Amino acid sequence: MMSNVEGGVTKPPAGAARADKPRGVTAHEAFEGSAVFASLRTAYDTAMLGPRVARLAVKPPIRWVGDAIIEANLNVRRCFIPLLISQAIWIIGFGILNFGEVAFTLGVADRAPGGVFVGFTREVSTWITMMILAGIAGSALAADIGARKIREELDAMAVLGVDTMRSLIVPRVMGMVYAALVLGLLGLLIPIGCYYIITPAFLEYTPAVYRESWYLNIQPVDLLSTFFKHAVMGFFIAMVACQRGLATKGGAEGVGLTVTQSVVVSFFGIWMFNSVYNIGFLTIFPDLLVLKG
Amino acid sequence: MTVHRNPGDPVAVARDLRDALVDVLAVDDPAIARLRHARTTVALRVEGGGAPMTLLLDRDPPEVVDGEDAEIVIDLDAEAARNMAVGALPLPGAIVAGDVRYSGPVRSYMAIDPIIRRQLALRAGRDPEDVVPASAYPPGIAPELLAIESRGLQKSFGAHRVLAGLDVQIPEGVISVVLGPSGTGKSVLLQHVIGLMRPDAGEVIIRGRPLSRMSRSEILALRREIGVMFQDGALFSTMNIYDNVAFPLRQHTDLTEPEVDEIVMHHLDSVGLAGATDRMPSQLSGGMRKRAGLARALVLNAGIVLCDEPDSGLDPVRTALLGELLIEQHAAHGGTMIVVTHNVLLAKLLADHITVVWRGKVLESGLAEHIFASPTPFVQQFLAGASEGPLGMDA
Repeated sequence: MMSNVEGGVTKPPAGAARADKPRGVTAHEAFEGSAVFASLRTAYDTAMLGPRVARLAVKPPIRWVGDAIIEANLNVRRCFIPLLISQAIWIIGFGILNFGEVAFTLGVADRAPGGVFVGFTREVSTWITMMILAGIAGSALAADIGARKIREELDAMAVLGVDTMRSLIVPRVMGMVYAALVLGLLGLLIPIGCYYIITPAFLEYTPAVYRESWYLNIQPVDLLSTFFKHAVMGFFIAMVACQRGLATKGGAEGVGLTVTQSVVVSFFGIWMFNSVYNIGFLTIFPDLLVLKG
Repeated sequence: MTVHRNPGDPVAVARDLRDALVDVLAVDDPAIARLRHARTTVALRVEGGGAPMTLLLDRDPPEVVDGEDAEIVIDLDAEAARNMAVGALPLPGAIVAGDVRYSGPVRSYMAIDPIIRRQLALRAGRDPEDVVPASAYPPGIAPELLAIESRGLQKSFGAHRVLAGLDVQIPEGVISVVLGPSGTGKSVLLQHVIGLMRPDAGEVIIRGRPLSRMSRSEILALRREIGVMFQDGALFSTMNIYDNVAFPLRQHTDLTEPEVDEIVMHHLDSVGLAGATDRMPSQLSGGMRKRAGLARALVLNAGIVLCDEPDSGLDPVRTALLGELLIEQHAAHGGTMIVVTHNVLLAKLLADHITVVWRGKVLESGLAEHIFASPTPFVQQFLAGASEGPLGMDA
């Protein structure tokens, strides 16, 4: 409560100005202002956002399905051409010209299709696809949320009684998961198609040999695992993009920083998750380490 | 300034006031229709003026009757009654200052006083801004007169302490300007009032209800009572101007589309944007975006309107025009308007009440005329825009 009145004006107590002078910074406050704390805080916020989104996604009323499909459609269309080009280049450059040529020299060219399928399913295709998703759709999502944040649109939504998590975040996260699954499928079909078209002539075996090697090495559990992995990675990319977008500050420069951070963290997360996941997966299913044929 | 010092016969004064109120309540104006939102009855007793007159603001249309019991009783002396009859008495300031006595929940009348006062001034052919100043400002205002109060509000961002025990008291029914240098915590205060930020310590009380004790649903309901005009309008970039303004109505009411259309077009017209309904936010100038933001803030008849730096990015002429628009909208909608700014000219144009904030604390608070006459070196320096004084580049 104010304590002094002079000429119709309420003033603070005498001596308040002295008390207002800048004071020393405590160790606790210094830690809170440090980069380490900021990084830990970001990791914590991202980790907390995931369960919250998952809970809202399954808790009625469920109104995100339509928007999620629209978002997924947009993401797939944005990523398709870069995915096609990237996968084709990798399968030709790595799968055919390097791996295929080595297999041909060693006289085991007929086992190359199965080997390429296994390698692409578990490693190359996954991170190419997810890096494209993170680089294109994830960055676009981070920029969209970040721009809305600095334009105060998110605050305006909250003030107008709109649940931004339900109306804005959940549909985009689910859209990213859908897109990851669709792109994951395309990311398998594109190299398989390229390999099927090019290699019989180049590595001198018949298409039947290719199909046999392929059939022998396709395992349902491998395919299911791949799609599960893509869904989790799509969710992770969306989490990072949304968290960074929601934490954006500092105008246009802040949005730029948000996008960069979102992409870098997503890439790092994709590589880390893929490696750790594959170690765990192959430990549980060691027979999948054997190349059949 | 038109001030009646010799009001004359109290009975005649009371009769004049009654006639003026009857005329005003009969005016065909959307603002008068809004009086029923007060949902109250007010007895006005003029000292020596005979039986009280009662405003029945819970009826549609509102009426004036004689001698009926009412929820709120306001006692006026003859001079105050005479000034009120010509729209020269801002009752919120007079009540807060103790110039006018009252009983009952007077806050609901204070909220609609700007509407009635404007109509009374127009009837008398006077400038609604030409009013009688209140005598003094008390050290502590009774909680039932406050629209917004903060007690010991503290907020830090890491090591940077923005609010250092902010005690704000904003009376109902006024345009209150929160004035202070950049980076002193004004916008952070607004974020706390809306409930978008939680304080580290202290409390925000909106119309007698502490935010900290409200459930999430209560906060969402409260937000319907608060309209916010953000710095750059904060319009939804994926919607055109019409849909932006219609959004709160579609979100929170069961109105039909023709009803929504009528309300939206009325508000867009009142801010001069009736011809820009189809334009996207990116196609508007900064001033137009702010006006559209104001229309959206007012469309639900919010009782409290918060304006965050409405002058940012505007030239002086457009700042003045926007200021006049804010005054006009406040007089048309009533309620309490809080404007956060560091623009002294805008504060002089708008303010009924001013809170000066510095280093996260309230330095001074009072009615505008008192603050502008303050002898405090900081306030004098800030109002004059002088380089000499306690406020430096690093303070």
